[in-house]
Amino acid sequence: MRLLLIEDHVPLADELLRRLRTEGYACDWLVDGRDASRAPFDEVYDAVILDLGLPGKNGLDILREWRAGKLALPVLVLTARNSWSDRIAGLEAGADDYLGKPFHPDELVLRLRALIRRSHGADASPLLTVNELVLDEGRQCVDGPEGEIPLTGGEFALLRYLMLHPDKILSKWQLAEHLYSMDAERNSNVIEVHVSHLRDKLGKSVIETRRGQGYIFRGLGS
Amino acid sequence: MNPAPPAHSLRRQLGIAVLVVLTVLGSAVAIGANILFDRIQARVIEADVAASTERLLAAIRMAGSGPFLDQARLDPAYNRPLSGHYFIISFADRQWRSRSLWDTEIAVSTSDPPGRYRSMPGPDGQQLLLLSRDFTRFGQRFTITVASDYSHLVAEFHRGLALFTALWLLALGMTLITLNSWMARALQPVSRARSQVAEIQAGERQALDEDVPLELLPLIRQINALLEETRHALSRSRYALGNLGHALKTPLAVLFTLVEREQLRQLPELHQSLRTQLDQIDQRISRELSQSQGPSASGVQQSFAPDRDLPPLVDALERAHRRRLAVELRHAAGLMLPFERADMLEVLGNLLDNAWKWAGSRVLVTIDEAPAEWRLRVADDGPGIDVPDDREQALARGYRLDESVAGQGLGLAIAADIVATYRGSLRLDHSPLGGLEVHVQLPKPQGRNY
Repeated sequence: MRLLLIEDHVPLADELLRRLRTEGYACDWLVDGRDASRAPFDEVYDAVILDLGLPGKNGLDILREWRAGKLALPVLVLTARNSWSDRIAGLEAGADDYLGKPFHPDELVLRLRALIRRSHGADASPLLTVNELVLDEGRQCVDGPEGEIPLTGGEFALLRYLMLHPDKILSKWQLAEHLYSMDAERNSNVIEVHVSHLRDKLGKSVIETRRGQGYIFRGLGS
Repeated sequence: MNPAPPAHSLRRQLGIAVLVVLTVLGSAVAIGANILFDRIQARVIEADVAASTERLLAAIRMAGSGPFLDQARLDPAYNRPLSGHYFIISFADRQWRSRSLWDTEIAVSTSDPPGRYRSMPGPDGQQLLLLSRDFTRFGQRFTITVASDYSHLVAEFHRGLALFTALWLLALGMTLITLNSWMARALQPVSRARSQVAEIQAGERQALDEDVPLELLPLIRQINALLEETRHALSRSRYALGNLGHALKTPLAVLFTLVEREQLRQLPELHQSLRTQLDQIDQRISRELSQSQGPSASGVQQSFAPDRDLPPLVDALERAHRRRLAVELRHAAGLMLPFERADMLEVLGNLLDNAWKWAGSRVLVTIDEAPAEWRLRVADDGPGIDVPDDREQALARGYRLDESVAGQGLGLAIAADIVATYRGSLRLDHSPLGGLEVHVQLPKPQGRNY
């Protein structure tokens, strides 16, 4: 999952980036409203965390522009202005969720998780279950028939992305785009390594390889 | 009107001033007229008396037996008893008295210097003016004393004076009545200004009308300047408070995040008390921010329309709680409440937020209009609060921190704060759905007649 964090308060952004990365999200960070308004059109993101009080351009205006430009990306608005009338204004401008500052980081992670799942049509239960494979996003492990299977950060991020797009062909290039941030080195070999480790842990049939096309998540189902 | 009129009344003071001036003036005129009349009357009577003396002197004739009074030449009034015209003529050892004197003695003092008028009481309540003069005729020395009654003139004057006084009093009364209504008219701009101030209080008006009499204009301008300054100061401090609150929230968010770091989580005691303190700061800020709301001095910017504003609020709550409830909204169509939209959303948002936390599946929002107030009710089918004391506590809980449910009661306290800025009240009750029902009463803004 690749996220765009738009927040002008550097210490908060630092803390959030640190936390979001441990949750297996690849994050890009922007500070200026003018840069932010173009970013989702130029890069591929799975969700945006948007602060409203931005230098350069107001967050609500940016959001309205995005929605006017038919950008369907899930957006979580993060703001100090969290009265109900502000919330309604944010939702009417096209926000998918609204979180008032200050917030508990766990709350942000939970809302983000639910937001991304919803945007992929998955339910918001604590465990992500796709094709009988159960992923615990909180603990970054798989609940297998023989107990808990721990995953590395890279494996977890890859598996989660695959599980949110079941039975679809995902190219290495596409996966890299969604799993690594702008400044990360995109090496398709890393993805191959993670896929191979996941197959070792969960069984060969969980991820199918289509030569020259990419990977398909099949899960434990037939 | 005020039941106890204030001690100082312009109208009364002016009335008293007019009364005093007119009374003094009236008395002075009366006294002046009295003196003037006295003088004129004295001259008239004196002339009359002097003429009578001349005529009497002419009526003295000489016959062989000595001097006699020619009756034919005498004024008949001298023969009518107590007619008011009298004479006494003394010569040698004899004295002639007019018949009109009857048996009245007129004390003619010999010490009276001749030719001097003297006033004295006469018979039958008459007022006499008396003149004695000495003449020499037919070689005899005559002393002629003539007295003339002038009481009828005095009576006439007193009648005139009474009439004058009556007319004067009438004029005084009419002046006071006219003055009163003039004052009422003149003071009309003052009572208009008063009702305009009430309108300003109700937020229906920005400034006092400056179309007032010249004398009031400086006062009205001064009040307007004061209003402007107060409004500025108020919005400045509100703005500053809002800014401070919002500015603190981002660093607080950093702290909230920092406190969840692994290093701190490993010190549960420290972690817990840091979290508690941070939560308290957050709640404190939220409450202070809610108190910086309320009716603004410049009136309602946007009224609250349930038709338009409630569905998005319910939608926002569903998203915030990620839970759908059967929400029933009961209010008249096209309703407009004369309160700030953002404040009403904050009140209902907090009440619904609370309902969302506790409700089983149903929430009922009712808004209706009473003659003097608006009534908002939010009911849920949750566990409710059965004991009345606990209900009071639930409202007070916003001040303290209940660690079992973060921010529990805070929403109710914030709603109560905002309701209080509109001079309304909030109370908790048993809901017909089985859970808690929050009643909010908001008095209608009163522009006049308070």
